[in-house]
Amino acid sequence: MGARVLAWVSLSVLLVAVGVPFYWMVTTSLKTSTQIQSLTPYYYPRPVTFGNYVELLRGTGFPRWIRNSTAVALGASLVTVLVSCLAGYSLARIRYPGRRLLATTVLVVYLVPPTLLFIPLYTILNGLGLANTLWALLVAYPTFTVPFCTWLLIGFFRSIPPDLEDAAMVDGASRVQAFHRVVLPLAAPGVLAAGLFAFTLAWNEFLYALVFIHDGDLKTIPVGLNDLMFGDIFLWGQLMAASVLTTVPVVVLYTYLQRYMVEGLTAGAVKG
Amino acid sequence: MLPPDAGIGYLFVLPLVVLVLLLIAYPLGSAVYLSLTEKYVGYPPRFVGLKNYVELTGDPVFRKVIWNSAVFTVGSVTVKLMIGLLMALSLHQALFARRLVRGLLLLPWVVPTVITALAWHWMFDALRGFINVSLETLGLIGEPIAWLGQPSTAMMAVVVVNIWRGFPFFGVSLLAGLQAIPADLYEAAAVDGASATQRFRHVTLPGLRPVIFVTTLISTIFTLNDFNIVYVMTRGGPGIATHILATYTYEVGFQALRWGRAVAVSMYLMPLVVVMIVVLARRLTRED
Amino acid sequence: MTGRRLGLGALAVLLLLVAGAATPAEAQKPRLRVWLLRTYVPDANKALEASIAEWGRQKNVETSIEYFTFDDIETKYVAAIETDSLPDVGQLQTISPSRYHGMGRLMDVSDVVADVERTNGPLLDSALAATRFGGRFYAVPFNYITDVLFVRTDVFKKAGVPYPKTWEEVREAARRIKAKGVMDYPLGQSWNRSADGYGVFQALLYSYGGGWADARGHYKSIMNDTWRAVVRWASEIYTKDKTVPPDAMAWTGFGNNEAYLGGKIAMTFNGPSIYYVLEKENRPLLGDTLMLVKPAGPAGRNHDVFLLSWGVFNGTKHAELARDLVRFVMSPDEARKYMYQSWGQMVPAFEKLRRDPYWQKNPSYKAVLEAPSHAHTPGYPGPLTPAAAEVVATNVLTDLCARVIVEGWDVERALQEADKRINDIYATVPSR
Repeated sequence: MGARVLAWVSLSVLLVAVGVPFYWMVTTSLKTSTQIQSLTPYYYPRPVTFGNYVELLRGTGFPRWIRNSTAVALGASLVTVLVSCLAGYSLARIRYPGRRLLATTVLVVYLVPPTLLFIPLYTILNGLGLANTLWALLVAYPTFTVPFCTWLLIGFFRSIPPDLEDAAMVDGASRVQAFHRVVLPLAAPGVLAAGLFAFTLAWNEFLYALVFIHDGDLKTIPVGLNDLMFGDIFLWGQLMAASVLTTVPVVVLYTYLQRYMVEGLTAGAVKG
Repeated sequence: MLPPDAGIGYLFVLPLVVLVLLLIAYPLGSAVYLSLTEKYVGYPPRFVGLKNYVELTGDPVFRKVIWNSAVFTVGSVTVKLMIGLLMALSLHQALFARRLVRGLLLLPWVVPTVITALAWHWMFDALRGFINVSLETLGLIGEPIAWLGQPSTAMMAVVVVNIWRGFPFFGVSLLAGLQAIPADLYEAAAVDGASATQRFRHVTLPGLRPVIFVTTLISTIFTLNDFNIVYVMTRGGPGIATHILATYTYEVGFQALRWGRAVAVSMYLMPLVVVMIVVLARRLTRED
Repeated sequence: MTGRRLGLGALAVLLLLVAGAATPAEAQKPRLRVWLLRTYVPDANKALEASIAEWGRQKNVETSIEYFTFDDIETKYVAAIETDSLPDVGQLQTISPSRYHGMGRLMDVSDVVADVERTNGPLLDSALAATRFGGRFYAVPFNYITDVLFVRTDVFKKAGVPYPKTWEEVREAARRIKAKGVMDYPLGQSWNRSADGYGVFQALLYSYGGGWADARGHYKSIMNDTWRAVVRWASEIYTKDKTVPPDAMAWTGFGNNEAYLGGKIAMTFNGPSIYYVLEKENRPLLGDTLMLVKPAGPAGRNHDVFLLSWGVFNGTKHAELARDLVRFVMSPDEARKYMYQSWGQMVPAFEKLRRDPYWQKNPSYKAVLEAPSHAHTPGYPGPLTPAAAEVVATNVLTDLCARVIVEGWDVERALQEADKRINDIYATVPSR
């Protein structure tokens, strides 16, 4: 029993540590700028104002940023899942010359610092005529999501017993059918985990979105937030309101899907 | 003769290969070449061999940046691992509302880093920030502490934020690792009369070792490349007390306009990265 | 297989979103890409957008406006230069015309400047210095965002201290306000990695007669007593007077605004943005706030400058349209529309606009108007060069102060490091 008490004590401490910044974020978004800048602290807004939210949704491009971010993050995670699933399965299961080298390459590229890549990458995207379009991000984000997710899925596919697909193939199914009908359904948690990772990374990305996109209508949320910092004036209330609204969808997503992420990690990271 | 299904194997891996060659290998190659040139924005590159690297080694600012990066990374990753372990062990214990708590603790990892950094920047504000205000209200400090104004506390602050953001990744991964340890191992240990501490040392830790290893490596890379936290919270200040490789690369590249040197700065990560790659690759490509 | 249906659904949603987000532009009209700074005054931005739209209607040109902010201005341009994706026309910050002209990216716009001068009167010297190289103009001055000294009149009155006219008096005033117990940390001056740091340092330096370049723009050693005095002023407000808020060295660009608006400090050097917030939101603090021209030193009033200008980029297919757009937005009527919506924030560089009664509204507005007549470009007393720009942009000046204040170096050692950095920059910066 002592262990359980200890566990709850440490969890409570962690919950408070996690909660305080969120509390500050939410309450700030409900304060007027005078309350925010007051020298005597306001631990909670009095009175509560929704002005920041109204101003954010009416007076800024926030609705568009949300839309752009959603499109890009969804698209990037779909591309990622597609490429990583195929490659992960191939590298985990099928034997052919060069696959060890390929598996190592996946890791190598995963560890390359993005600060190194983004300048030459921009030149390429510009050459493809994609600069200043959302497609640029859709093409660029897989550079960091695909290696990670492929690596995760290699581990996951390996954790699935090969007997099942072997049996299917003995029964006359082709490799592609076995993959599609037998392995993929079993791999659903891993695939979802990979998708979730890709979505989160793409949703949060800042540097590529900052450099590759000029058009105000095409900004994603992290870059759009820059618009709320006018050089040396910060609209704290609106910034925090935007933070709350940006966090909510991801939190909802995770509340429903975290089980898969943990399962995906269990197989991918643990066994891989 | 190729093994059966090799064709499908190659076909499946083809999109990945195209992506890697076009969007990663080629840019990486250009980056390596750039680091060997004197490349000033708006001017053509001029090959200078290792000049950028040599100049950087003699630059006291760059040396400080390397040191800062090491402190930032080692400090963050160590504590993240410890807190993550605590979180995993506790969650493994506490059965009631585990999923809810796990979900809540995952939040910091999910929020865009820019937002995290902004929110914390404000928490650390000396005169109106939540931290000082609470400490003063509780009577723990008489004078406000300039968290971001002194080199040591500023470094501590950015490390704290990185920990806050990154520990859930450790926690969830390690929890996954814990759940994968077969229960009969514990039962066997209990039958042998092992104490809780002994069980932890001889069953839990060995079982977790692979996860700890992989997660630590991945987190090290994430942390080394972290740009937003320092950029938003301190810009590398006060002075250059919290300037790290990512922010310094950005400054050299986009303020000084010296791209050759900027890329050389990031390249200094490469030896470390190569070591990690070799170690990690050996583990991960090992056949079962 | 619900998974597959889910996947298809997601794909459909995605395609719709991307299609909607990337609506194709009209093809027939010529399309002019314009890059603007998103200033902190939305009214002024709207006025400028309206002018540009009006011009587009008159000339049957489609204009597309893209914004950058103070923070990412250099990043955007640098990325665009390296990928040949510069706009047709764009706003530039002080140091950019010199740098981009050096790279051969800016068109000669002397004719446009001549046209605008004919209608708006002659330019201030500090605007000439930032846009004219080798006798030709490579950018058209737009407006200054000037840096001034903010003072809290009620605090000064309470402490019985006169408003400072020299840098020494600034120190003295802060010390006296602190000594009288009116305010613990009256002076909000950060030597940080932003314009609030390197801008004010230049003002201090030039006012004391110091510099790092000679009149021809060549490197000059900084190991002299003028620099020692300047660095002492900059560091002793922290180390000796302790009149600066303890975390000021960590402020990013907005730190002093927040501190002033929160009532924590009684003096700070800043662009007029603080006044904008007070005036726009009609805060009580407005009545107790005065903007003054920054102080003088032994060598007089020689300050830093922040000038926005218009550049027309080489490689544009619509050079004549771009020039015409600049002429239009700078024409007296359009320029006034913008000025009147600027809440006293955007100070014109052309003489006739500067004489507009708009600026006589109150002493604070007058100070904002006067400030750029004391201003000088980086590298003063020499011309603005890419090397001088780099010294400012890479924070050499403020790192110098931080070494002394934060890391406890002695002034001599810190000066030696800065001297070496400046020398290196001048030795290696490319020139045409």
